[in-house]
Amino acid sequence: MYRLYRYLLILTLLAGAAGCATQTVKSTTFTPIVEDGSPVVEEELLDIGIGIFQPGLDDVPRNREELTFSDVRMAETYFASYQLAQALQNSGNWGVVRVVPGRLESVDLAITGTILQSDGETMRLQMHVQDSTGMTWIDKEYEEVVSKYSYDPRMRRSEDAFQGLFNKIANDLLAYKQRNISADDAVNIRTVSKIQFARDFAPQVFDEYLAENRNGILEVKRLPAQNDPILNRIENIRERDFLYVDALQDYYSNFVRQMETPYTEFRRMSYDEVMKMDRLAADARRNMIMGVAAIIGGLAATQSNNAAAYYSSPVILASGGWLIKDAFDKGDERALHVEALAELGNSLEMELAPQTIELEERTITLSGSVEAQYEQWREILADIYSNEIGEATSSEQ
Amino acid sequence: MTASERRAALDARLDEGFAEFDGMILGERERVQAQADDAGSGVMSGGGSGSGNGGDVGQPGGPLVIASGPQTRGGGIIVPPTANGRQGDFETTQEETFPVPDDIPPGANDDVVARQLREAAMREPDPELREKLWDEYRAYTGIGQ
Repeated sequence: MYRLYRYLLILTLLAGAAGCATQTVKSTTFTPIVEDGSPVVEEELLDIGIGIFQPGLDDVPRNREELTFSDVRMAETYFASYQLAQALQNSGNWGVVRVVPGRLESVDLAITGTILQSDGETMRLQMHVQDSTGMTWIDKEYEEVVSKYSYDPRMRRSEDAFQGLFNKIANDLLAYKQRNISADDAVNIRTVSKIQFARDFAPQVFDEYLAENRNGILEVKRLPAQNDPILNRIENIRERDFLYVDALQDYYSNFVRQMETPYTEFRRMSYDEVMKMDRLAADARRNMIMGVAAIIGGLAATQSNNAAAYYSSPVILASGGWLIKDAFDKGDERALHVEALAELGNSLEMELAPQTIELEERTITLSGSVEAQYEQWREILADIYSNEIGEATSSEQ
Repeated sequence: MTASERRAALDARLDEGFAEFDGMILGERERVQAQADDAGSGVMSGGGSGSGNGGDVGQPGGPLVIASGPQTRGGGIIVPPTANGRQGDFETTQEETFPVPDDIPPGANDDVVARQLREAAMREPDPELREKLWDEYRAYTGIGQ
């Protein structure tokens, strides 16, 4: 009997906890972007390269697996990367901010990220930021949970529902820079990125200009001469690289524009479904626990010597049975919402998948052409260098 | 061929490559621009996607962003302009707020939903919508019931 009552107490506490689990704490405060406000010398402005986020499909929480659609997630990687780039660019705190498909070594600040969760209600990102010397600025997880008003057209919000999340990342980046990066540091970072780029095209010339210290941080050992002819040629190449990256931004902005409306609509509808599903799941869980507790209580009452407890036992047993049945009904209702969401997701996948494939193909095609051209330039630069070495040797003789 | 002749020839090859590359990239950008134009959206310069120009949630045809021209670095001092001074900028700081109706009490006891309703109403420039938001706030908090 004692064991029954103890079990009953535990179940009652679990039911109460299940009730508490239905309360969701949401952040309703929108995080605005913070601008530095003070004049920035051009030589200290840091450019930012954002790698296309990883889809994080291996990290989806189990209770969100049925809400995650791989093709939608792949499209989201471009969307989220681009949104972050826009937040950073619009802050005015940085130089050029661009989404790049790879090759982040020669960018002043390289940002990479993984989408851990994205379901209309919650977006969770794992972000990593490091500068060209290899110093890590940020390595942390960001999360935002939005309310239904983020999708309410009456709110007249022109920005993304999760804009606050991207602003938070941008603000943290600025805060780190203000706390830790002096003007000399900024100039040094820019110099290292410049030499990194030059090293990629003329390693025989610039390999020795940088060295890694024992902490793995790149340091400038020698500065190239301002009128170094090889460096001047590489500057011309770097300008072309900027052009190429700008062309990629055209691709991404077009893609984001095309996907924005159906994707936002999907997120709004999936938000509603997620809320209902979570509520039903919590209600079902609570009712199941309470139902079992009631049945155990009823069973305990049938064995009680107390007349009141004994005669009320059928009522307790009956109500316990009803709660369990209701839990199953809620589970079935939840399954309907899962199905509805699956239809939404599949429909959006069908719309986005061809666009994503086209974007990837175009990016690969352009990048391939660009890389082939870069290879030719590397060979020409190597020839020019050999020619200059030969000329210098002849002069000495 | 002398060393300087060879160098000139190599530089000529580089220049040829640059011209080809420029043509390829610019042609590609024109193609993408034409695609964007066919889709019927406007073009914003400076990369300000979704920055307060009528791209409401749920409505079709948000603003198009085509990245601006080559972002080469120049010299001199760049003073970041204020949020209100840049066209198409993302509106965040220094937003105008509107007075609270007399029957609305201070929001110290507001829960998260009431607080968001309050903030939205205080920021809404359209008076009709603003009153509807305050009505929602009143209904939610039970004022006047």
